[in-house]
Amino acid sequence: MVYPTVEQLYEGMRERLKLSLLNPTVLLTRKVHSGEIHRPGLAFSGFYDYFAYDRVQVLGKTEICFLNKLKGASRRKNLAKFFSFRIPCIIVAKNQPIAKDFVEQATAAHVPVFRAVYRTSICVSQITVFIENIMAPDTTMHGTLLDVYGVGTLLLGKSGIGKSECALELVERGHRLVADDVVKIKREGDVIIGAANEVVQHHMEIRGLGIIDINAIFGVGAIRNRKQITLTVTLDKWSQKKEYDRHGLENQTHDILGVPLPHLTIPVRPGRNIPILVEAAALTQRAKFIGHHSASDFNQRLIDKMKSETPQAKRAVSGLFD
Amino acid sequence: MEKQIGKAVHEVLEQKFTVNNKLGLHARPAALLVQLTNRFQSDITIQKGKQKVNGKSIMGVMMLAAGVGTTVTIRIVGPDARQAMTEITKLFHGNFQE
Repeated sequence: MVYPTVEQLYEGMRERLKLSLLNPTVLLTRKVHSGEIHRPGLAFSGFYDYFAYDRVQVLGKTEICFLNKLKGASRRKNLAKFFSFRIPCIIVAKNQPIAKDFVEQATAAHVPVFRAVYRTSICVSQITVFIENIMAPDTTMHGTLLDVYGVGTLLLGKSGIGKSECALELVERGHRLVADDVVKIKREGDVIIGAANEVVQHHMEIRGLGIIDINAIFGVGAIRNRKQITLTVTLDKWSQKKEYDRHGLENQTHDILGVPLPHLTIPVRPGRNIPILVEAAALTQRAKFIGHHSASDFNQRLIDKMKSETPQAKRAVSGLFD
Repeated sequence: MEKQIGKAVHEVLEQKFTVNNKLGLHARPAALLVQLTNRFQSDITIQKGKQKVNGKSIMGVMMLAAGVGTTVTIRIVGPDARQAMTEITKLFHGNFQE
């Protein structure tokens, strides 16, 4: 797992939370080990049986008020104990003033202290999202990610099967390209998000054409920076020997970073218009999300019809008129 | 019965089957049937009453709406008819793996 350093946190949150560093002499190399933050009120009161010291310590109004009341020997003792832990950093929320001796002790213990302009709840949620995002499991996949009718569709398949050509046609048809060839994938909770690599971003390589810039050719309406993946489609060379799904009753899945995503295999052969098939697959998937399952609805109607027409059923009906 | 078409000898086979699986020829059994029939070169038709459909088309097979207890006639014309009939018989007698 990748843990962000305090420096990364500072860089990332500086603008958003309007952070200022109160003791600039301290190095920002410590790492934050959890997306959760900690409010060290209990620690200030002298309770150290359990202290989540390896998280960002956020001081809200409660902590600051308590700290201001804490005087004399107990203040010295509790703060000395507090700073004996390897704390990554402290953030004072709501632009509150902080006691000079507190900052001095922090500096001596190499703990950076920041002040944020925003109130505690905003600091907490923003920091959590930022850190969780950095710590989220990620990977890269060979494939093409598009937004087709709002469905994040990841095209997979061997090199040369026609993923990019298919994507180009889909872009022509008004859908949006997220990433071609290399897709950066992140797991955020149970959600899988795909994005383009910063270097390649919105460029495509089409055999015979070379590298083309989708943004320059089709405009901003044809691109997206990131998109949740909700459908995976594998393009596979048509083989007489393989058997393909004929009814679509089974929901096949494909695991990405441990999350099962709906999956289809589309056999490719000359004369099959793959982009249209991908478009239809995306629409079918969207219909499933809103509770309309084409294949099983159809099958249920068929089964009901057959039941009403079986000899037994007919006998039962004719029996009524005997 | 044999039929001479060009040089190849085409066997013509016809057999009646009763649908005995629990729900009749719905999507799953129909898919199994067409996956099987598509492996053969022979022309395969399925008939229920007056309705006759291509045995290689899933929508056709489902259109028959052949429920439990109905009888369908399978007619196979082609060079591998005998083998096709054997396999189809197995599928019907095995109640489509249900």
